[in-house]
Amino acid sequence: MNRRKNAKWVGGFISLLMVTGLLAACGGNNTTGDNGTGNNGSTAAPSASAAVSTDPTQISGTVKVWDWDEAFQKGMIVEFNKKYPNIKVEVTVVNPNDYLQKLQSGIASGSDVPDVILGESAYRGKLFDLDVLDNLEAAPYNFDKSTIIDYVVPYVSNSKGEVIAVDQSLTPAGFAYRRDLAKEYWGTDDPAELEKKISTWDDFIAAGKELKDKSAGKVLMFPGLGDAYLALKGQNFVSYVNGTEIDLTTKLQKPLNRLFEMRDAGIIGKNELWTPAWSASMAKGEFMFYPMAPWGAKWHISANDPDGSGRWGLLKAPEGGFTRGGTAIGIYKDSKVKDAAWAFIQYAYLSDEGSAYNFKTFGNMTSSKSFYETQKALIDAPGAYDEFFGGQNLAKYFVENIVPDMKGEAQSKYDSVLDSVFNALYPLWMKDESVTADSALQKFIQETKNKASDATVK
Amino acid sequence: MNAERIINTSAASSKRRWGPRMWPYLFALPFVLTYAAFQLYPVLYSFVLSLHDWNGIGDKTYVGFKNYVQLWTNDPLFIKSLWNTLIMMAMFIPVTLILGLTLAYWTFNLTRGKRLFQTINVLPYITTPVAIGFIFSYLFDWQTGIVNLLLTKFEILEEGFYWLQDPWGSRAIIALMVIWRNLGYFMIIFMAGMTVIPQDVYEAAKVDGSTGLHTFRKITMPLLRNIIVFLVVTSVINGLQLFDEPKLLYGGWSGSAQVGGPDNTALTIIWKFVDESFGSNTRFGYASAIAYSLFLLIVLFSILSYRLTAPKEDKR
Repeated sequence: MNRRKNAKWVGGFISLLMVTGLLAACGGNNTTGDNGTGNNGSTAAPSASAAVSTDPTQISGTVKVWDWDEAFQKGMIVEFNKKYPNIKVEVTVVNPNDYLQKLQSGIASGSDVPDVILGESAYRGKLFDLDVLDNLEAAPYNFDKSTIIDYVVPYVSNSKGEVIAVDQSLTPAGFAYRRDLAKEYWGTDDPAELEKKISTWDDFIAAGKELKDKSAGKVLMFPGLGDAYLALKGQNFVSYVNGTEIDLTTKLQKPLNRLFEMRDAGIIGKNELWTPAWSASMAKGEFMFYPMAPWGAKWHISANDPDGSGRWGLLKAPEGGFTRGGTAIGIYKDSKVKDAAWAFIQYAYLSDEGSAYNFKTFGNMTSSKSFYETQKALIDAPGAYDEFFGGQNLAKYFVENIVPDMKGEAQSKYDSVLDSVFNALYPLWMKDESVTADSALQKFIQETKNKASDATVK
Repeated sequence: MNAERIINTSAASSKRRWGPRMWPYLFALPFVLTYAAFQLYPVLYSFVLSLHDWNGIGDKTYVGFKNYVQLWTNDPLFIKSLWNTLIMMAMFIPVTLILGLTLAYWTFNLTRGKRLFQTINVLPYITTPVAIGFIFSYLFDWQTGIVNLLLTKFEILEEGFYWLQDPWGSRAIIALMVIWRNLGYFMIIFMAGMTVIPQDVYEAAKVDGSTGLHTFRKITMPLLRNIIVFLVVTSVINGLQLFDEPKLLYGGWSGSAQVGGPDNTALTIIWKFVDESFGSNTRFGYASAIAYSLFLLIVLFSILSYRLTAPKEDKR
């Protein structure tokens, strides 16, 4: 009797144990979240950042990084370990399109979270809103935001105004243009002269009409509305989100008016961004301009027009610069190796030596001010894609002609909603001539309301 | 003495009984446990989630049925996604059924090349959805797509038609993708059903003077009824979960991620769910409410489609 009872109990207990074990594994451990905000695992006092710079060999630990650019990390980690031999950096390659999703599930399940988190421009606002990145101005980092270029600060700050990331690279954007076409139809391919020719958007439209007439409609200014919108929206540096209020009219009315003016003038093609036809158009020479940030020389222009060396140039956009892309690097607030993670970020993205390697090897331009004072010779030296751009010094042009009049723009979780609404709507604007700037704006507001139901949109 | 013997025998018999009795439970245990952990628990947990406001990371706030009320009364996009899904289902389910049946009947009666034809028709079903997304987005691309190239070459159209950015064009292409992919599968299931129909029924019909279409309508079709019920119910369930095809048609193959197609006319319920949880928003509670609503819809539509198609004696 007893034995039978025991067997039953043991059986029942074991199965219960297994069920709870499985369920517990799914439930994850949210409790670890509470004790991480202090100096977890760090032996240093609040003046850790001072310690970081004094004796690199004293810091140790394993820093986990999720990045999509494996080549960057492979190169940078070797450089980093020359100075910090006791810090091991482990890289997991994560596709930027899945990044946030993977991060969310990692944090929610408590399983796998990197110490160093990357925020690509497409989801940066959403990442900041999740409140998972540590405030870099507080201990143990004590980061001084006046050391980075002023316009960058809003791009790396959360809604509370705390700096929670550093930028991988400055991403000021201008227009890449086809030198051969400019010479053929406008008589010059000199950036300075062209800059004068299109110094305002009115001039730009006039030049576009001239181009269209002279080429008998074969060459237009932009491949599609998406390209023009990037520049127009990007230039309108206004803060349009206040808590849960979204002021689309302020942000978009002006850009949309210009956009439709250009569409109606017939100077824009009908390609959607990133489509095969759009990519192919770069080599074909059907369009004059493509918005381009420093990373675009490698990833856009030369990638899509491999035989085009020498026929491209870089130009400032009418009425000023804008930003395009860019990646924010932050530290997970429950990281156990904050000192080591910060040492890596500082070295790779802020220090003069790391930035020099970064610039020489990958063309990334740090946001740290001191680099541009101490390493001026590097900027003046020819870069990897200068030859491709007809011998124009791209980095120098970006730094001297475009960066000075850049302004910053606060990041918001609604940025990605705006992008997704735009992507859903603009192909119809190209197709349907009856859509006007006003009706497009009204539709934009309506769609944004549908997607951001917690916000008031005007 | 007596009592002791009784206890002894009962212990022995219970031991005997327990032995063989235990085995079924033991063998079923791995499945039950994995089911509990990976199916039952998530199902219950997502219901709990749907009553909360949660971004996946911060604290959960209990909001009761607010998510459901919001979803059904104040979310035009959800209602639109529901309509889109139903419209596309109405486009592809009848076509796949009819075409599949015709194709199966024709193939079944082929004397030569039957196997080859079968294989060719099933190929799309085993193609990965990503490849299908590529194929169709290239086929129907506005400027470089072969469909438009042919249409303009033969001067049927002056300028290429904007397939992927037209509200009805987008839905029709998605329906076409589903039909193209599932036709082979439907065909095989129909053929399996046809194999089961005894040949003597056909012979009897022949003797009675029935031929061709009459035999098909009066014998093949009624005897395939159960197969049809099965295909209708499963395709309704799968249809409500439509996601791969539209998602891969729009932005599966490039950096441009247009959510929902032109003006959200290709937004399906699952796509809306994915967009709410991982796309435009990070509202896990709200997304769970969508998932649960979809679950109820699927139950409802399965019952409905079963009642509509099942033979009378099976309806209960």
